[in-house]
Amino acid sequence: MALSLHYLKRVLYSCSCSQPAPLTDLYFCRHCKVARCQDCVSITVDTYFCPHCFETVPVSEAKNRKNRCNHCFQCPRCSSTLTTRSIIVPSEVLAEQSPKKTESPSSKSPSLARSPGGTKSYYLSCTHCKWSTRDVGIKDKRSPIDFKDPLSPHQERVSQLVSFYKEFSMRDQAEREKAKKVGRRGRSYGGLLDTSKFVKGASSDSPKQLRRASLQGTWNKSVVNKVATQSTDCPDQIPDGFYSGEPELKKIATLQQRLLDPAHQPARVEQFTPRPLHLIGKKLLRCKGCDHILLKAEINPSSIRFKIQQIALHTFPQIRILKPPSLVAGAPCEVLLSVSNPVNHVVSISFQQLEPSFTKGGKVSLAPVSLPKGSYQLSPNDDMGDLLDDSEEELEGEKEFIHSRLLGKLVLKFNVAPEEGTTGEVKFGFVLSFDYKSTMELEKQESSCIVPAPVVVDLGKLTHSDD
Amino acid sequence: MSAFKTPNKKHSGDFKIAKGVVVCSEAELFGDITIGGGTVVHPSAHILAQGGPIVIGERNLIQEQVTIINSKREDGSTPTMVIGNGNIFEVGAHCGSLSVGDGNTFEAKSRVSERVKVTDRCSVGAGCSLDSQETLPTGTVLHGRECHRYTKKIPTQNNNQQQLDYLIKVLPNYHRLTKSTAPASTATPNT
Ligand SMILES: [Zn+2]
Ligand SMILES: [Zn+2]
Ligand SMILES: [Zn+2]
Ligand SMILES: [Zn+2]
Repeated sequence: MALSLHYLKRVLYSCSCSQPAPLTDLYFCRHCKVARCQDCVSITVDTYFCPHCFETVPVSEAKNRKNRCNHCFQCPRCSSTLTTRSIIVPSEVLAEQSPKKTESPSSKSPSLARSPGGTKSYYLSCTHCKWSTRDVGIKDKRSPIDFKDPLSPHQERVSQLVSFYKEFSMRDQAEREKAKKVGRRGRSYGGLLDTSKFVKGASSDSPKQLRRASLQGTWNKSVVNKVATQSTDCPDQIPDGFYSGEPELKKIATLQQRLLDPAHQPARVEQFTPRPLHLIGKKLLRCKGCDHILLKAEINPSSIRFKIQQIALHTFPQIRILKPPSLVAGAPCEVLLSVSNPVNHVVSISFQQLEPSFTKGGKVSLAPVSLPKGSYQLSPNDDMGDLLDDSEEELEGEKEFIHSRLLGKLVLKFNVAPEEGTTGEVKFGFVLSFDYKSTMELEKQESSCIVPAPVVVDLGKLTHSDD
Repeated sequence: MSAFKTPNKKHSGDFKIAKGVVVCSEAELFGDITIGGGTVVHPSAHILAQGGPIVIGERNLIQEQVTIINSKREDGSTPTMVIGNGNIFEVGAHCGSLSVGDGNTFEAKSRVSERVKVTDRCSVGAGCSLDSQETLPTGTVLHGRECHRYTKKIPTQNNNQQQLDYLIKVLPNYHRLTKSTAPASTATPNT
């Protein structure tokens, strides 16, 4: 079993909230000097962009556009992106299509006369499933930007409701402010002693309910009626043969295809329309502790770089299991772990035992371990390191525990003693402390501090299992 | 069009190759094969007439790693495999169908077994596999992981003439070709 390949799940670092996570999932806040997991960061959307045409849309505008691109479309059948195809329609064909103009070929419309060979017309087509706008009888357009999302049949109703509730909340706000003023003048707490409100059906006059009553009183009934839902006596008729007819599976849209267009929900394939493409957001992550930005991408959608990227992988020494150890219950087993330096300066590390509180309630049973004593220095992880002549700079470390030393890497020996009767995975833990040198531009002088990182390593099952 | 007379281990059998056909000698050909005009066979394509003759029509595009196979039958019958005109076999496609019409597209890594009859202007999507006893009606489109299928009312014409013209011009500059068996008139297949 290649343990080293699975080190992501095997070696878990602890977040500041004591949640275990692989190093790749963690962020590091330079200001709080702790690791932050996905739950310890607040996520907001920085910008939106279209994944197809790379148009950037500001957050404020994205809502108006319903979070969709105006020019790019998605296939209603297989939801891949549609491509715009153009064809040249000969003028004669166009003239034939419009019967009025066949009478007098000389009086062609100016747009047709412009190009002697014919006019270009556009349609959308899917390269994946071959669906095209022609399949559903959407006419070819003169310009590729002429394709529009059809208006929602509920558009009017929705805007009616939105405007109604806007007004409603404004009135509510006004009433609340009025009540606040009254309350300040001399609030009586008599209401708290009144038990009548707990009696079902009793006419209560708690301030809240009074307020609501007054609100409804002042509200013009006709306004409410205008937006109220109307009940109907005759529900929509089911088409003939809906139950008895044989279903044409090729012509019925799948549930997924229907829900791709929530406004129309086409039940049959003839009703498909191109769907505007969803915008994609670029995330902005902040530390929940201090609100500083941990991750910020460049605005340009075609760039995959980050302006700020404070991930733990850039700061924390990375631990990997060098090779699968042979584990025997009751005997001390040598485990080789490699510790890699992510930065290009010397980092000193040391190991401590985990606090007993770490294995809360004994839910996580960890095997006893003897850790390498003293502190160790990791050589800088410099790409040019192997080109420089190695003048064997003496780096700190107890020889006894060092297996080997590589560029920016150190292999250390740990002694794990799995307990008798261990059935599951053998795990052991320790605290990896490393000195973190902050290189913030604001603080001119380098400040250094020790950052402890609790780590739990999963070594897998015992080598001699009873089978 | 230049052709090289080189002993070719990859070719064995009896071929009728019409004029204007580009068959790269790196393609594997086996058995009784007839190829019509304007067809391009890329290197490393396999056309294997093991269980009967294969007749390929005009203007077909057979790309790399495509397998067109008329496989050996247990009952010893030798049916002829007929492929029409203007079909595209994309990279890695496998076609065992004994009857392929005109203007079909077999997308990359698609697989059609010998029990399937393909009519005209069908499209077998990338990675789709067909192995049932059936006839694909005109304009059938298969796509996606689950082989969703539907029939296009207005089947699209695959437009590969431009690409074929280009390949016929360019391929001989970089590949050794298998000589066409002139005179062309006798080699034109009836499809
Ligand atoms: Zn956390
Ligand atoms: Zn777009
Ligand atoms: Zn599609
Ligand atoms: Zn912070």
